[in-house]
Amino acid sequence: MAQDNKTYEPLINPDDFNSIQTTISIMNVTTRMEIKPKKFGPEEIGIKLIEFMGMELVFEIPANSCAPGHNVLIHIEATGPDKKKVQFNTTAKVTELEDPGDNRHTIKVSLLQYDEMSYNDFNSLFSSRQQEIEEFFNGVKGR
Amino acid sequence: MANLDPKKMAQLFSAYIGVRKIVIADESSSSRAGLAKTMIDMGAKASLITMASSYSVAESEIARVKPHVVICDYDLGKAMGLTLLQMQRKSQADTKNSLFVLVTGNTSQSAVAQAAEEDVDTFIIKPYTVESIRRSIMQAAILKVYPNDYQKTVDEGKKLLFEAKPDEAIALFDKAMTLHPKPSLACFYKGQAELMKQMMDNAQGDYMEGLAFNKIHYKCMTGLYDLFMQKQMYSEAYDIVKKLSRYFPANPQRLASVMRLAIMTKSYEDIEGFYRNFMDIEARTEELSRYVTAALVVCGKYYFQNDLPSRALELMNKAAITAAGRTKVLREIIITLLSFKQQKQAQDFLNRFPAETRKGADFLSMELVVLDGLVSVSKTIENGRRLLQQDLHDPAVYTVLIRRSNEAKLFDAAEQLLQTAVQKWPQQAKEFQDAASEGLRKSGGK
Repeated sequence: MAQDNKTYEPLINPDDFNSIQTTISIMNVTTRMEIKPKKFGPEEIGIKLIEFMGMELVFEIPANSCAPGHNVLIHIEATGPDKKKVQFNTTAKVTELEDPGDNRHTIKVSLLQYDEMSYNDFNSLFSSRQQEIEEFFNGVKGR
Repeated sequence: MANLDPKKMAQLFSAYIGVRKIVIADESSSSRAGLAKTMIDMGAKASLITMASSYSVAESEIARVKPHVVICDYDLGKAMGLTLLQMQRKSQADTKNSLFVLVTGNTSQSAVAQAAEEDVDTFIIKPYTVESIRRSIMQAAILKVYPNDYQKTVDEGKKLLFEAKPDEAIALFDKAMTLHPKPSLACFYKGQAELMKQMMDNAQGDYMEGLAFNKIHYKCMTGLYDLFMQKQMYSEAYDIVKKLSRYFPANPQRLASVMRLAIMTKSYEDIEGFYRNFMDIEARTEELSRYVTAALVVCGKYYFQNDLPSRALELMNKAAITAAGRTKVLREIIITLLSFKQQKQAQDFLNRFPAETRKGADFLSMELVVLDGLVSVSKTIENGRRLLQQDLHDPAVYTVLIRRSNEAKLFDAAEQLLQTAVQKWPQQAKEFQDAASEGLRKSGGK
């Protein structure tokens, strides 16, 4: 950005409009099928990571992609607003499956083999962002 | 609240949530189910939880159920979940005991800042841990429903303010300031009390004290901005509003204020910098585009007025690009260029109207205006009359026709056009009169 004689301070930081981007791929090792986004009518159901539960993760996936007891291979790549990338790979077992409707299934997977440092990096990308948000809210509201 | 132990907090929250009606709005059924389960684990009653799978369902459920607690995603299809907050506030009279919680995969600072500005109670990102949801929602509820001594004192002071008792209110806010390590909220309300007493310098001091405790305190920043504007301290207002824009970037109205103050304080180079900033944003909204475009055109006019035509044209060009075919912007640019005798450049911009807009009023009226002076007077009048017959009533068309009709000594026609134009657009009466006078001068008079 060109600078004038007086110090120019950017009005808007473009990074402020970027979210953490997550790309998830899951291979169902048991069925040897990749779990892919599926179209149900006009709606496409993809893979979303919903919840961290210690050594377990909760995903939303297209319905009928796997079953409890299946082994899966998960690859997640997350990119922060500052473009920093974090990758996490793990083998896991599907321990629970729920059918909340709408052509989706919610699965809970138990992590089997993974690199702990990568997992911590991945986890802390979100936990530190949550912390930042809470501090920002407290500051803005004067809590 | 910091002194409450976790067990006590959980008990208080369970007592609160157990009798509250909740609406959970999220397009993902997995998320809805997960959030409902978490709320039930925290003490909510399943029978008091309503699910909404879309914005429209959430709207009707909020109106029907009048929930105390709304938990929703920031993005609900094409609509923003945040707009449900106003609906909840209208439907739920008991706002002191109500909560609005965002649980979303949108982790952008712009979304977070917008939520904080709208006074959302808490913002939780996905993927979440159950612990983070519990902690966040509990804290937000306890703060609101079981306020600590600081908050209670500030609230009592606010009551006195509403009763127009500023001196008594100030005493309470002074007391509140001893009850919190960073009492920015008390400083803000003390400032409000000083304003009530017309003590603007004192109010300014209070807001600044609040910001010294906490540089992003929203109320102190906006209070200071409003005060500077009232005192016509535009440079200071400009500095504050720029800071507000940096911390709360997704507010287009504020961007408009920044642009306006940049012009008022003659900080034209800043506008060019803002444009470069703006172009770096990947997800540019329509509203943001409009404000930036308008500012570029105004900036361009300034450069023309100060005899810097090439710089002006550069900005007009940028405005046209940002406008992405919006015909009102091209029209404004053309009118500006013609007012500064930039005939050829005006013609270039006329050629930038997209093909599909060339039967529209903006293009046809600008075509008449640009060609006026390049074709004969009679041809201009013929073209203009044809547009009126096609029911294209545009002030620019009338201005040209009034002037040329008088020039061609068609005085009755010019007078009729003038009367019609003034009746339709009274705020532009002077412009039409000036056109009539110019035409008369060129004709040698009646």
